[in-house]
Amino acid sequence: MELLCIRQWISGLLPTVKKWLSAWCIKPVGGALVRQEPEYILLALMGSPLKKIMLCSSEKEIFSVEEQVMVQHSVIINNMIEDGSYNHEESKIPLDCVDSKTLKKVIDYCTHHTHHHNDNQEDLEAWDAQFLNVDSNGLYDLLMAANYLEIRNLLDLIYGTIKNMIKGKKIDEIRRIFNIKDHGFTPEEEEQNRKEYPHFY
Amino acid sequence: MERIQKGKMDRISALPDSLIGHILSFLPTKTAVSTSLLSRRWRYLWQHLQDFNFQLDQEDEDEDVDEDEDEQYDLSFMHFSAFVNGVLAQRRNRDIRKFRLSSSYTGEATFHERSFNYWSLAAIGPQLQDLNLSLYEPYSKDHFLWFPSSSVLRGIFSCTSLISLTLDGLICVNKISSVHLPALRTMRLSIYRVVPLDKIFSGCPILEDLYLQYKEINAPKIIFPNSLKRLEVHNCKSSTSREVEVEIDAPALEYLTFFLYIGLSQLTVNNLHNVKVADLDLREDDLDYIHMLLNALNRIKKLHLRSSIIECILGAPAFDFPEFSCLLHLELECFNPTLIINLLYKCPMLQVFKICNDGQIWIEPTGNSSSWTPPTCVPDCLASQLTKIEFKGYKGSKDELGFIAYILKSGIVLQTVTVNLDSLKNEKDKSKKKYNITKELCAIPRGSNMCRIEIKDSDIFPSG
Repeated sequence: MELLCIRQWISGLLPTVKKWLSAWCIKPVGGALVRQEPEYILLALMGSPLKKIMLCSSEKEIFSVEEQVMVQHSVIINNMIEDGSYNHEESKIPLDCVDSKTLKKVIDYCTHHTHHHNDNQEDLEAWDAQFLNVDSNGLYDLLMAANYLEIRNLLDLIYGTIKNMIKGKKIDEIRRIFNIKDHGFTPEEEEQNRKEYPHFY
Repeated sequence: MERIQKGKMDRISALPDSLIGHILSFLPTKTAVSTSLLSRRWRYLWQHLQDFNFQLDQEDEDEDVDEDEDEQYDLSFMHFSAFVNGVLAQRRNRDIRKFRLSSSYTGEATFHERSFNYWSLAAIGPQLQDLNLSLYEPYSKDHFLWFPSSSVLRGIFSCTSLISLTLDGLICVNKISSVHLPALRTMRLSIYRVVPLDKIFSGCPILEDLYLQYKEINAPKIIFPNSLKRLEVHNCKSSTSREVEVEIDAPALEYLTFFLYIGLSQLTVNNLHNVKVADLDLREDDLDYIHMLLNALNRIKKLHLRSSIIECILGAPAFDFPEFSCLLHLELECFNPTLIINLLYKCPMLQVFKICNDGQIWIEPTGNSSSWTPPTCVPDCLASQLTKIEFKGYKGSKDELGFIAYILKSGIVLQTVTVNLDSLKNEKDKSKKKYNITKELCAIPRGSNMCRIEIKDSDIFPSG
């Protein structure tokens, strides 16, 4: 088939593809489409670039990420782009409270969930569990980052994990897990608590 | 999984109050309140909670089980009641956002009733978004039913901020003066009796998700809201036989589960062309209604037909299925090869097909004793689309074998055929039978090179 015919055929298909994609809740921005087979092939033939944005960590490291991915997950970034305060050609979004390691993780999360949006529930949950296999410090850093960027599903995921660390455990155990060394109660207060609520300790 | 920070900071206590508040709102309230014992930092944090989850059930039982059962249950409820009252009294935020109350013990009836009434009134407020009241008895004592007071009903059903409402168990709603729930999107009603259903439905203009489970219906007519995206109706099989008129007109409906075992006096269905997934079970003598329902669902992608509805269809051998041009996934709770083939003719795009034959439906005996003969004309889907077949409850009868042989031969694009033998679990010579069946099935010539046969045993019982 000649190139011209291919292009005509693709432009004929584009409205259907857009309709198809919007059914998957992925909005194409301008001419850019999220990278997913077979639309990627379509894209490659059409020659449109995927729109990217720059995120800058507290350590001044720049991360380039597909705009669509971040807009879908982070309310803050979505608002910034929608109200036009972000200039694609020049600027980067400074995220001074998020360090590079955490930012990379956050980007990983958002990218995976956008690209694997249609996977079955079990696979997604397994990936999430693996994703949260970080040390404690990492977990809190992720929590603060997700809170700052307002990424609802990541927040819920982390809250769920922390909740499971607390639920069903005795006070002494919780103190140990979270390193709460100095409870700040006077010895009398602590003794009183233990006497009054023995089943919690 | 435990994560212990080795010699590091206590980072969780360093989180801002709002984040700790969020963590606490995910916990059952009893646990959230107990965090006040952790440290000085945590002592009063729980008091800012706006989301409450009070649960009294078997797991919470700390006491010994030596006491007389009645007394023990009454005591449990009293302790629970004191706890709930204490928490509600000490909360710093007047407005409650989420309130979940789940109790499966009953105490003395009036005390019980008053407690639930007062707690519900405390929950109802300008910020209430999620209300979930669930009452069960652990054993059949004297029948306890909670009739919420009129002020409670008025409060619940005119709560303009309410987004999700769940009422479950031994609750009776007999009369409501008016219903105004402009923000309600999700409603689950699985209570003992709810009379003014039509009033409730007409007061929920943006209701998207409705789950309705009931034993008896006193309303002569049910008109389901037309804003629905998801509808699940479960009519318990043991209900009084009183016919009901049902109307469903929901252009946005995508998921439909419809189990109805009382007769229909009238059925009106409109605008169901967006329904993607349907699970149907109807005990209905009038086949016109079944026809009407299936016709309305003809753009469906996934369909599950259960035993009662199939029994009705088998009652009329000339039942004409509509063409399901978009159907990709079909599940049938019966094995009747004639019916199956008739249906396959009408599903040209079918990719996945499952049979679940737990023996409830008998194969209609044909005039003579000859078994089923394969049709001459192969259904389109079998020749070009069908990739996965599952047969649960396979017993190895002649007809079943003949049917599978036909499928394997004509299924040119088949990839997986799974045969589940858990119906054999109670028979003696189980392993021998399993071996014979496996041998038989693997010997059948296959029309597709990629076709793989999987023989599954029941996962619950060890094979032996």
